[in-house]
Amino acid sequence: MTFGGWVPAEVTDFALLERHARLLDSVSICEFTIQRDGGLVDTITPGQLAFLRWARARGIAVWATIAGTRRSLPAGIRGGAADRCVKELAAACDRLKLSGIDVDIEGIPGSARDDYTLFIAKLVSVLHAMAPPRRVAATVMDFPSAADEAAGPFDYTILGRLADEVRVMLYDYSCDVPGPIMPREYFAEELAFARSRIPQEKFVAALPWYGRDWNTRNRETEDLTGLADLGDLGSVTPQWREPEGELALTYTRGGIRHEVWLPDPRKFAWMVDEVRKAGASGIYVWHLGCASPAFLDVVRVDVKL
Amino acid sequence: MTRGARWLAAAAFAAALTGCRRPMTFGAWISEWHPDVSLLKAHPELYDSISFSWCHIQPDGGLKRVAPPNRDALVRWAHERGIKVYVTIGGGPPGITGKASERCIKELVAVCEKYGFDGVDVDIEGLDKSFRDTYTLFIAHLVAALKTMTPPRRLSVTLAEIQDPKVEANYFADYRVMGRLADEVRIMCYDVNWDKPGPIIDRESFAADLAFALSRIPAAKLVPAVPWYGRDWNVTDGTHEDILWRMTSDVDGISGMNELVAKWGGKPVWREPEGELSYTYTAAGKRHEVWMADAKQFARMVDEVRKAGAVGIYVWQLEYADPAFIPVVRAKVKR
Repeated sequence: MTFGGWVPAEVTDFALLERHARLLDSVSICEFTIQRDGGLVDTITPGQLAFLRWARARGIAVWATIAGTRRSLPAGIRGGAADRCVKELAAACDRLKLSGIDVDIEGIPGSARDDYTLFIAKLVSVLHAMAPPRRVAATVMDFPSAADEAAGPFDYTILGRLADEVRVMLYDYSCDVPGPIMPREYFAEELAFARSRIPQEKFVAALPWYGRDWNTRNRETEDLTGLADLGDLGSVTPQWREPEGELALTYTRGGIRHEVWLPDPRKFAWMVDEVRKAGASGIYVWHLGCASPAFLDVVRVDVKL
Repeated sequence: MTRGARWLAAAAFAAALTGCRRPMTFGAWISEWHPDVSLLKAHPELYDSISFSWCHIQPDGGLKRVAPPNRDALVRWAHERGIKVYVTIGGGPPGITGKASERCIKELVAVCEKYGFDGVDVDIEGLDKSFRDTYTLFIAHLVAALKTMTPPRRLSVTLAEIQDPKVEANYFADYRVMGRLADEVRIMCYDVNWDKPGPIIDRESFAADLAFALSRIPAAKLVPAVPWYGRDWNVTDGTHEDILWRMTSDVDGISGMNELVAKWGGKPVWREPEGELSYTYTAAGKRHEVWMADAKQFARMVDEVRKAGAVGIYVWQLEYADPAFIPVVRAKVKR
């Protein structure tokens, strides 16, 4: 299967990835924000630009991931704003020699489904007309059933035909209440539903490499790149939980109880196994800043075979 | 070498690499106003699919049946012989807009269920660019609905021939987007001349049509549609009407090519560089100029389609066609 991952702004150390370049088919740089008028704001850093050049030199496809804010969307992908946005994305592809655009628009209502569909159609039309043609990925929320999908802004069947790849984000199962990032049972349902709508060759399962720490008093959360983010936990060690199939731990600091759920290489391995059985073309991870030698070993052994 | 010629050369080279000859799919449209399906019934083994107008889209999105009752039996007959049957729909806004579009798609799904159609062929014509978003959404929603049926149904879109990107930019359908959404894209490679007499499709236009389509639509989905009809221009009056080879004034009120030649004498002439048959006659003091697709032109077009690597070929239209077309289908399309 193909393997790639997102590179958000907080990733500044690329040394580990650079040592494992052969494992990467693509990376997506998350530094492009759509404005209400369709204009693009690019906050790409010199370090990311250097990484981008490094990746391209090794034959790793470099994508730009575009997002928006609650204020700018869906206005920024509608009508004339959409035309402007598409034009600016094509220019960014030329300027940065990108392989494609990954549309990661989240938090828009189901009523924006037509706007989103037309935006993807326009983007595909323009990027495929470029020389060389650029690719379009649609990064979409996970749904376990047709009824859930119908209420949201993403039509898997349509996107499976329009886009070159559809990255389904198979994580964030628990948000408001502490719990697994993605439990086994829900993961299986979502994989099956995605495969029933998206052609195998375009289906990319996006998996978590991050964890989440819930403050059980005020419900605030903090995403983790790994256990080390938690500092000294004393004698507390994470426990493997079933049927969730994920590591979890609790700790108390400053009198406040925290609950942590954290995908690890063992979890990643079983997820990769399921994805392979489901027949996806590739794996994407959120995010590459969480990479560790152990995760990359799973990529080497189970993803790239 | 023109850009179009380069595309065709590249496509021909790719076709050569992939093993040269392979059968292409073959299908035909049947109009709702002629009863003759003899060339289908006599050679069912040659057809992969047929398409006919079953219904038209009404302004409220409802479907109005236009197919005569005997078409129900034709669907069964075709299925018994493994021939796929598409329901071809025409019409346009407002029937494909908003709530009307939802109703239209719901009714199309119901029609496919009830009559066992294998797919829908959307043949909406004559819109301008202002309808591009409307049309794109209609096609997107339709494909989503058809693909979730059991079994999934196929979607074909039938589009006008285009040779110039500027023309496509002002057309209601985006070739590239349709090449993604639909299972097959049928390009109507005919009607190049309309107001003034001229070939139905000349060599140069056909090559340009193929090249442009291939630059935007995957060959695996591209189905060029070619003519099995002709047109008779009354040059004196400035009018014209479509004609078929075997139609007769007694039955249809219009003479077909065979009857015209028998009645007015003379002989059709093969014209170059157009690569098409032409015939002139004078009736009631009025000069007529006829251009007519024949088996020789069809054979040449099939060769071009094969070189381009397209998956199949469609013809407009089956009824009263010249039986001489059939050996060409057998020898060049299905071989």
